[in-house]
Amino acid sequence: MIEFHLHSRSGVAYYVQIAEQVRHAIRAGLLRPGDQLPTVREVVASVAVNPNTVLRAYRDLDREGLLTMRSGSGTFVAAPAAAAEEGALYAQLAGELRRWIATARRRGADERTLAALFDQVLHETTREVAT
Amino acid sequence: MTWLVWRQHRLQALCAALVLAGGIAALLSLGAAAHGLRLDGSASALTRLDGLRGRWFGLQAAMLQLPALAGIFLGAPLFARDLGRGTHRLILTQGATRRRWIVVSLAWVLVPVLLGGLLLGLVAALSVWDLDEDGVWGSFESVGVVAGGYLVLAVALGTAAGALIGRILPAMVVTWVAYGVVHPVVIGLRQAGYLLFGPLRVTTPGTFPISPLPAHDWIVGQTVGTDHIDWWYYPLDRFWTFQAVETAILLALTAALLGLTVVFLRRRLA
Amino acid sequence: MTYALEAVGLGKRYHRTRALDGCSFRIEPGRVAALIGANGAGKSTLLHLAAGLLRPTEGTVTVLGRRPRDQAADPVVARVGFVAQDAPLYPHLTVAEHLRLGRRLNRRWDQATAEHRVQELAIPLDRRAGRLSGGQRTQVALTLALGKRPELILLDEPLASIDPLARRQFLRELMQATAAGGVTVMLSSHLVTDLERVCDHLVLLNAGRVQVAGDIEDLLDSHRLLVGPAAAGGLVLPGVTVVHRSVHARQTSLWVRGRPGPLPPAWQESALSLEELVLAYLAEPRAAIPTAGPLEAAS
Repeated sequence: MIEFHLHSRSGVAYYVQIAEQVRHAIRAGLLRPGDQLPTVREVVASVAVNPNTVLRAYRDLDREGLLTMRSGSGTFVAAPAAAAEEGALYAQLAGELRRWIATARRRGADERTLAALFDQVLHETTREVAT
Repeated sequence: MTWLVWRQHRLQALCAALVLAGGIAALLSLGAAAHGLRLDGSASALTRLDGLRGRWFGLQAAMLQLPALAGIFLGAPLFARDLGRGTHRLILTQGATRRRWIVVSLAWVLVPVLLGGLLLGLVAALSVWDLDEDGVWGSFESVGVVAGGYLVLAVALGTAAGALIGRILPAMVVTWVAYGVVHPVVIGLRQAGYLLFGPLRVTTPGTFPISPLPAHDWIVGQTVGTDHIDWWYYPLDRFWTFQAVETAILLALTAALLGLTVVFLRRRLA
Repeated sequence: MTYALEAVGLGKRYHRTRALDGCSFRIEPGRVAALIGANGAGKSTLLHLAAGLLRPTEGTVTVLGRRPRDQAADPVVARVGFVAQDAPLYPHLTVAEHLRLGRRLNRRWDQATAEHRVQELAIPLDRRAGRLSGGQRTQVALTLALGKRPELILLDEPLASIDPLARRQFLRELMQATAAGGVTVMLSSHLVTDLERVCDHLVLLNAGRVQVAGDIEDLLDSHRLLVGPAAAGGLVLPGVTVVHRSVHARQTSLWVRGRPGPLPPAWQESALSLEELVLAYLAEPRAAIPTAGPLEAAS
């Protein structure tokens, strides 16, 4: 089973931390397909955190295809096909991002500007999706 | 709610019950002994009766302390203890309504105190005629219905002080002081015949103060003239009328104080 | 929807002091709301009004859709749990007797769960409450509040005088109770970092007024800290409101609401923690996040 550790001043939302720790555990092989993740109640019992935070992390990962939430039975690590797909997706996105960064650098943008720009556009598009 | 009131105040309730039981037992034994000696009538019996009378005075002195003690230990802590500790917030958010808390608390202290006081007064009234038939007016507060009246009055003073002040120790002090003020005022009213009955007057010639009245009458004053003395008094047959009037006054004061208690509590719990 | 807790123009005045003034906010069911503010800002007053222990002098407060002072046949406060500041208990009553108090006074009471909870926490049932530690007393008070099976729980500074381990345990208990579902929580505290873990909604009180009210994630998402050179005090950022500004010898710090676009070089942007956001607003009493719509009370 996996145990979560949450850091309060890292500036990273708790649900993101939980999701990241699950992804890492899967990548490192600590969690294998079919393994059950701790229930929301169990997480809350070990780490004093809002149950919605845990739910959100699990739901996001379910949407990504890394986990499967089965109502009544629990949350399980998804089949390897999905995990591999996820890895492939990441690799492709990372490649595209590298090319974009290289182009931007060639045109004179520096690291901080790029980070701020990415942040802003991401925020705007997330807003658009939500509304 | 009843269970909670009992559980919180059970120590005081038990002490009060013990005091009541002890007082009644002492009165009954004294009264029975006095009755026996009276029936005997011999000189030695009457001498022993004098000794008993001394114990009766001692017992009375103790009984006169009871109202103040009731006010301080039964009345003042009734609401002040919860208010001081903040546990009223616990009770009120655990399903008790203000009304239930106030009514049940007041009922469980006033009714037993009133009944206990009436019982004490009744037993004392039975004994006093054998023990000290001339000193009946002097035992006014320990005998008959008035005893219960003073007890509930003092308790109501205590509950009002507790509700107003909200802390036990200051409430106890205020109760003690307040009773120390109210008590003499009522006695003064009694002496003035409650402004309803004037004292009767009898005049003796000469200026040598020898009372022309029977010992069991209550002499409230003398005016010395140039060649006569006026004696102001209440005869014994006024005794029970005075008891009734004074008890009515005490109960009216008690009701007013209970009203104040409720007002103070509602203000705090608003 | 029926809000778990709603205040509209809520005010409470004692003689001449205004403890609360024109407070308006809404808490949806299922939220865990943090009530934050300095001492004397009115947090206790607000919670007492919601719990029905006080009567408002202006405006209204409703819990689960009804007024808490409404003593009709089925009073809504029977579904509201409250833990007062310093968790008042009867020192001479044992823990078991406190549970009995709960069982006798409340219409709805779950004795089995309450006992189980106390035993899980290793609190002896026959110990007098006066001999419990601060953390244990708070847990017993929480057990009493939860034993009513409430739909709304209000806690007044429950973490104030207990040690860090006990605080963590308390929050764990509280979150387990909410994980079961059907419960809304509002708790007040000074300790913002503790609240950040468990709360998803913020109500910030400043001198009796609601300065900020909203979803914590939205708030953190929409605020940024910008740090740059002091000379650039006149930096103009479109679409962004400066909440708080701090100028030092060589550095300007701006706490802003809104997401700035690309910044000039030498400026750094970072996210805010809840504590930093709270501190920024508390430092600027006149800065507020306007609430629009039906919450505006007719003045």
